[in-house]
Amino acid sequence: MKKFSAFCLCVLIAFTAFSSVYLPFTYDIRPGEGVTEQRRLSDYLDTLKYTPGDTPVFVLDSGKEGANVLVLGGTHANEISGIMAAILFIERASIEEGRLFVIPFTNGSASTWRDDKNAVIPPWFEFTTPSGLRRLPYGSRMTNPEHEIEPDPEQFFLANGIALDGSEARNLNRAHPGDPHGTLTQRISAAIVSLIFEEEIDMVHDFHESGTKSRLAYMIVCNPKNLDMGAFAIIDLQMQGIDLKLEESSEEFLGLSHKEFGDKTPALAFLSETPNPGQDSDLTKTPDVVNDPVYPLYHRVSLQVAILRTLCQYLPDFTGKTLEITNIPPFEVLHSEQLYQYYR
Amino acid sequence: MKKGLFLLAIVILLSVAAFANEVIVPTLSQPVMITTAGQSAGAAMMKVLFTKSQIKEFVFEKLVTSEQIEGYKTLVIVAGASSKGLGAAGIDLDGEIERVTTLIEAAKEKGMKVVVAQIEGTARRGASSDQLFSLFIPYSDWVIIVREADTDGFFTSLCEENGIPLTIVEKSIEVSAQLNLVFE
Repeated sequence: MKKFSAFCLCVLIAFTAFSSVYLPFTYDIRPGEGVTEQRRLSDYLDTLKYTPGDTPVFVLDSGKEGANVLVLGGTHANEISGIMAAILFIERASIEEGRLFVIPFTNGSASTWRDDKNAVIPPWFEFTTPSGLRRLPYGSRMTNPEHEIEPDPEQFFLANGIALDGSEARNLNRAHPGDPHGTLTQRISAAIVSLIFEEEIDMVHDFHESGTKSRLAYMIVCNPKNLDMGAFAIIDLQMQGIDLKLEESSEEFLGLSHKEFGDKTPALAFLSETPNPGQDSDLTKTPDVVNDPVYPLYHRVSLQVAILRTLCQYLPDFTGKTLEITNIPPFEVLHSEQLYQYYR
Repeated sequence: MKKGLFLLAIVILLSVAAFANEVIVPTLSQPVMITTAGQSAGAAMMKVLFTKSQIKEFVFEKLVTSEQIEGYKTLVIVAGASSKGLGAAGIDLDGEIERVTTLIEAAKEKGMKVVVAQIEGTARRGASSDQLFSLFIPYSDWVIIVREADTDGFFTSLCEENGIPLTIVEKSIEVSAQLNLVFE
């Protein structure tokens, strides 16, 4: 009886210990043949292990030395064109030269909840692929407050003293370059920076969305050191029938990926914005973030894919290295409902 | 016979009258100095457009001064105010206006042709950008813009008032072809 009681106690203790460790979220991502390895972001930062900030990193390694490119989707988990673009590369791309690192849910914690601003939008969005209906989360802009190690401050201060609302402490795109021993949001950022250095990343691209009437919509933002490359891409994209605006990082507004990754690491740093009807502030009815008649998801995803591919085409000119991506259809094919046929 | 000669005279008279009012785009020469007024990213785009044209002798300097344009035949100013660009360049709008004003004066003294361009469309229309256009277009020899920038007729009116030839393109990628037409 005593032995049985002791055994039950051990089981109870083990169960309690196991339950207190955060089990990583998993979403429906179906790696294609181009994926050579699946890692976790915590592989680059121990203090991120077993936290809700940990997230999958997909590696597409050609085995041939070339450019190393890092793609971030889901820095804001409600900006779904970037998540979908990232997943398209994971499920469809092959890399013939260089390496591509893809993080589809960069702020994984943000994908686990929905804040008040997104309350009218369903928590999942759906699309139909050759294998049937698939569903991915429509999350939030910020880290889940229940996952953070401390409550929001009254005010959040950028490194140069500019004060923002306290909730911005959970905005990953204000936290860069992060702090390996800071808040969860800061540790996610620090892990990305660690990845950039450890893998000798040549270019980082951060996919985002904005409201449809925002001046940020249809924009590529460049760190000043790679503005020329951005200009070439803008002109090239115009030749493809894609009109985008070009802007450089602000000297004042710190903490953003294009600013901090570009300034604090050797990598070229870009960010792109497509218009998401789910982010408009004047919502009179529930927006359809997939089938909006003016800004359908396929339109936004195909733009993101075209932007990344065009930037990669200029890597040899600006870095002397190549990332050769194959098996991704051209813009004119993806810019239709046909886009979803290329997911698994 | 007399009737035919009379009609011919009328036709010639009307043709001369038409050409008398037309503002002709000047022929431009290399080498070219490209700069910005307002430090927007449009200047970087213009550099790319020159790269894609047949013009070979051009240089881009975002903060070029009047002392640095010796030997150049054409000054191309891509105008558009960007607070981010001004911040990155370490200059404020007043300082930028002073720089470009001095630059244009020096260019004119040296007999250079001055071109003002706006190739970013509505993104570079606003109080600060419009201030730059109003200041510098009257001193230009040619203005080239994208149509999206002129939906309110701002550039058309400004160029007409000052007798400046204006070329409007649908997209900025068409600028390269226009450069090929005007440069010798």
